Amino acid sequence: MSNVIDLSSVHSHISRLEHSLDVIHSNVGTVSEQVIAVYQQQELTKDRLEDLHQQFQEFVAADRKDKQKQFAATEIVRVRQEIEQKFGHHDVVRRTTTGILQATDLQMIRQNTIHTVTEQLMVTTPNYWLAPALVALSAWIKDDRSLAERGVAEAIRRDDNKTSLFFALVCRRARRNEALTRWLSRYFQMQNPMAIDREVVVMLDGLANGVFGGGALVACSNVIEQWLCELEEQAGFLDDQRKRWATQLDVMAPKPGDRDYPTLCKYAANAPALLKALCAARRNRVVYDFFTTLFTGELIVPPSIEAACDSLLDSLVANFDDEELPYRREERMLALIKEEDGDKDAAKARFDAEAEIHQASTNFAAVLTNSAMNPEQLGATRATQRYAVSRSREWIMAAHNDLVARDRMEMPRQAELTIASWSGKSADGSNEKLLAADLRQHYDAKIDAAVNAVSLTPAAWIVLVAGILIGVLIMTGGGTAILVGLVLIAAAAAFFFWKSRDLGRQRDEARLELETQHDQAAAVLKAALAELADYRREVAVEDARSADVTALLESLSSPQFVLQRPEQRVSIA
Amino acid sequence: MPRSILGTETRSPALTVGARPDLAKTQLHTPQVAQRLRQKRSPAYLERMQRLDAGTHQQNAAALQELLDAIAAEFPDLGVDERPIGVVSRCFLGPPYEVHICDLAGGIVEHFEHWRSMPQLFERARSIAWHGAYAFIEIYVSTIRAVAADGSVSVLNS
Repeated sequence: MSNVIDLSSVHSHISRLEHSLDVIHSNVGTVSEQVIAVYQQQELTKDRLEDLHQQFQEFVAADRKDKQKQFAATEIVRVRQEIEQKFGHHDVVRRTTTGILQATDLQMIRQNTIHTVTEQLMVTTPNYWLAPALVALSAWIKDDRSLAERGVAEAIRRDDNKTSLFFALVCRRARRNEALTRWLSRYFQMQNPMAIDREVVVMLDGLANGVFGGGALVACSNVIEQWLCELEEQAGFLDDQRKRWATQLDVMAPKPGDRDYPTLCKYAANAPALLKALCAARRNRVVYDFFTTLFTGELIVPPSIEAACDSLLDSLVANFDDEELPYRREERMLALIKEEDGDKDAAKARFDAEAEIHQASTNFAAVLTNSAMNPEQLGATRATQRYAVSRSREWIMAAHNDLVARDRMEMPRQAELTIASWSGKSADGSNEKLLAADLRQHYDAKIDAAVNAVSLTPAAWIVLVAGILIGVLIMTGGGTAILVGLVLIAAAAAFFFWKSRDLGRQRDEARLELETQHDQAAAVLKAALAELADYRREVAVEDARSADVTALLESLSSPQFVLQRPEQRVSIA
Repeated sequence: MPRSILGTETRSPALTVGARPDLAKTQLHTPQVAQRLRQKRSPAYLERMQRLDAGTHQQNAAALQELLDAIAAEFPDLGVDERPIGVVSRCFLGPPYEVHICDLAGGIVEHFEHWRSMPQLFERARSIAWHGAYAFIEIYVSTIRAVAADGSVSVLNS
């Protein structure tokens, strides 16, 4: 029995070895799970970082805009205070003008009082054209011809254009039509339609509101036609006028909304171009509504010729002083920054479109355009706005058609989608099946690559070979060593087998991970294509509205008709 | 490649544009030429241009000459250099054809598939021609003019 080999210790070793292998297996499994968890954490962190980066960029942009808006709000107060300090005394003279006229109407003030007031204004507002004009007016009321003539001469010396218009309106107010015609003729003779002063808007207002009736109306209409004919003979005038209108219409394009096609915008590389095209198409509706509103409803007509003239006189004396222009420009730019919520670029685009308003003199056609599009900046009335649009409708139509053609040319024909590592193109979402199949193919290739990448590590092979070699080496010792060697070889083989069996699990995990990614990408693709289909539908509908704008402009009344509105004839005697 | 049934591009050495081919430019100033080219196109001219899609011009030099005569008749007051150098319009032959061009200088009518680029001067009009809102697009050296079905003209500087 002494030859019987005691294998209990070998069994014990093998058991311990098995136990150790189980522990190693368990630990490797844990490590593998941890690696996957780390990978997932890394992806999550990456996504969060990207989100954070985007949020940070948005925050910086919003903060910048906010600061610009606050700065504009503060600055605008400063500019207005400066205007008040430098030109506030003009305001007293301005208010006095209609005050004198109304007081004279009512015969409530003594002529001497009026005379004293105007003399004081003459002393306190040097170099201002209106002060001697008021002295002349008070002298006229007092029937002091000599003083009236001296006052008029001084006012004309200081500002001939404004003085001529001022006395034309005063004469119209007094129903002295012959004098009105003479003052207007004087005014017209001084004008150059290529470089006309902004106060010509007052003449347009007088014309459009029916203040200038009879011979004055005909004279004004003829002069306007003559000016425009002269301008049209200038090389490049029509092109300039179309461009001027195109600039005005272009800035009417609305901004994209935050909820506009979010998935498409997030995953289309050419999203900015798509959004720009959408806003350009939406502009048709804005332009249509603008002109429809302008020509809808009755005009509010002043109750009497006195009221109409006073309104024009207020406009003439308040809105067109050249010394104030630099401050008015600054004030307007700051107001636009406020209106655009701090978006300086958008404010600049709007300011550039109306830049000619803030020049001391400009082309008469530009005055027409600005009277139509920025009436509040020029103090133009709604009647003038209507007249200017109807007189400009050919230019507006050409500008509108050019803009629409430009927008159609710039409309991206494809949405260039990039979802994770996949990219594809679609015109209108109708190729969803093709793109879904391409996405599937893309992920199948990725899955294949990922699965094939999972293979036995060199360590497993080293353990196997080393185990066999060392086992064989030990076995050469004979006796118990043979068993130890065999155990070692068995252990190495078992480890190798276990590693081989684990490959399947790793491959399944890789496949599952990529399948999840595919499902997410497929959902995004479906949503983006659905939005793209909606986008194309909306763009087609909005684009078709361009024809409505053309039809509306074609249907507008002629300028002559606008000037002879029924309410005009009824209310202005 | 163009569809074989329509033949390949046709070049006609005998084609002339207008009654006075020697007159390259008129006495009109550039703004006047621009103004002239903005005027509505005549129904006869529109009708001639829209016949391009029928494909007859590719095989029939006489038909192409008629087309050139129509252009000369539409712009009798303009010199050869001031008239369109070609026309691009949407092709209704069906997929894969997308647009076709008529190169008036070379007397070529050619249909293009969506993947094939047109000559550089014409390619810039591809997008708007394909849009379908215009009957055809006239190509000039520095501008393109989109002509609507009613003959009205929109100008694009390119």
